[in-house]
Amino acid sequence: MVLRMEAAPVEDADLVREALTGNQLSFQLLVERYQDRLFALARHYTRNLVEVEDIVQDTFLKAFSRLSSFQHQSSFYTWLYRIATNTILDFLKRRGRSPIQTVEDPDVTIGEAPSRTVVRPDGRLQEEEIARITQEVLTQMPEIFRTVLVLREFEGQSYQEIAEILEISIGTVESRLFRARARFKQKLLIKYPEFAQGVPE
Amino acid sequence: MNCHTARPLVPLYVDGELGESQSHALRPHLLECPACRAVAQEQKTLKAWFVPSAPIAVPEGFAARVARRAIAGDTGEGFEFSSREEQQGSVTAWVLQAVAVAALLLITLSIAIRRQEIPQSPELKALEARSLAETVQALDELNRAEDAPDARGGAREDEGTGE
Repeated sequence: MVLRMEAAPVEDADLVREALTGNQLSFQLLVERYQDRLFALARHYTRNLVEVEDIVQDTFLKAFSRLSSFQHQSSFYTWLYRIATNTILDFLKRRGRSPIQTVEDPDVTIGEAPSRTVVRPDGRLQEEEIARITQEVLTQMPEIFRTVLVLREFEGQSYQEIAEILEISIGTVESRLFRARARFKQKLLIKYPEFAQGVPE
Repeated sequence: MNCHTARPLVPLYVDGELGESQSHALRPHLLECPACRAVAQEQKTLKAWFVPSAPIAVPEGFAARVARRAIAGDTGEGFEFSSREEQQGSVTAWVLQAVAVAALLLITLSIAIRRQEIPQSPELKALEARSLAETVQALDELNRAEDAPDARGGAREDEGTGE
């Protein structure tokens, strides 16, 4: 009988502590642990892979330079995501897209027609095509709505995590998500009315 | 529970963010209210648009490179995103700087050449400074110097004829 001894996974907090002493390998392990997720996150904002790499690299460099300010009150990846979203907003600003958009969205009235219509992807659509359409609609949305949708729907973050990443209250996360979804649906319907289906009452 | 109370809870319910007690209270209402059920259905359907895209292949050695730069003190703060517009802008700035440096070099070089062509010896400056009277005097001295050997030669002739 062969007994397998597997090393216990090193906690983020331990790697952070070791990285703070100048241990390059510990920080490299942290980068390896989260690089895939950050590359996926950044890709929602630019399709240019060089820019995606720039954003992720910049995020990790900033994280290391501020590592001593990490208080361990939130998880390391929540803290890292906060730096990543700020880096992305900075990137968008440089590209001329202002991330500061009004939270109040006059285009969307709560409880209006969208709830009467379902916008369903056509069953014949390939996943790549659905992803392309979604990306196209997201690109047209104000950044504050786009970011909550990306964090919630693609990254699967909880309301609490989104609140910590964006440094807003949970109530604001709820209302922002609600408005973001309404806006997403509205834009989708305008662009692709063929996907609209009535819902029987 | 009525629609007024139930409706704001529906998105949280669909997202799995509603506590068990509130979910327990909402479920019977959703079963009996088609309008609120339609809202829930609409929320669920919308999620079908957010399909995960194929993962990006992280460049080989990315983590090691980033960790090395981080330890070396690169903070990423002064980092410029390499957008195409910024790259073009930096090329233009580089060309302008090169042209300015070349122009400066040309001006310096032409001044240096000009200075070399201007006579700098102190004698020449002294000649230029001579007045007409001084020139005449200098010419007289020159003439006298030329006459002097003739006078000496004349004396020798006189001596010879005296023999």
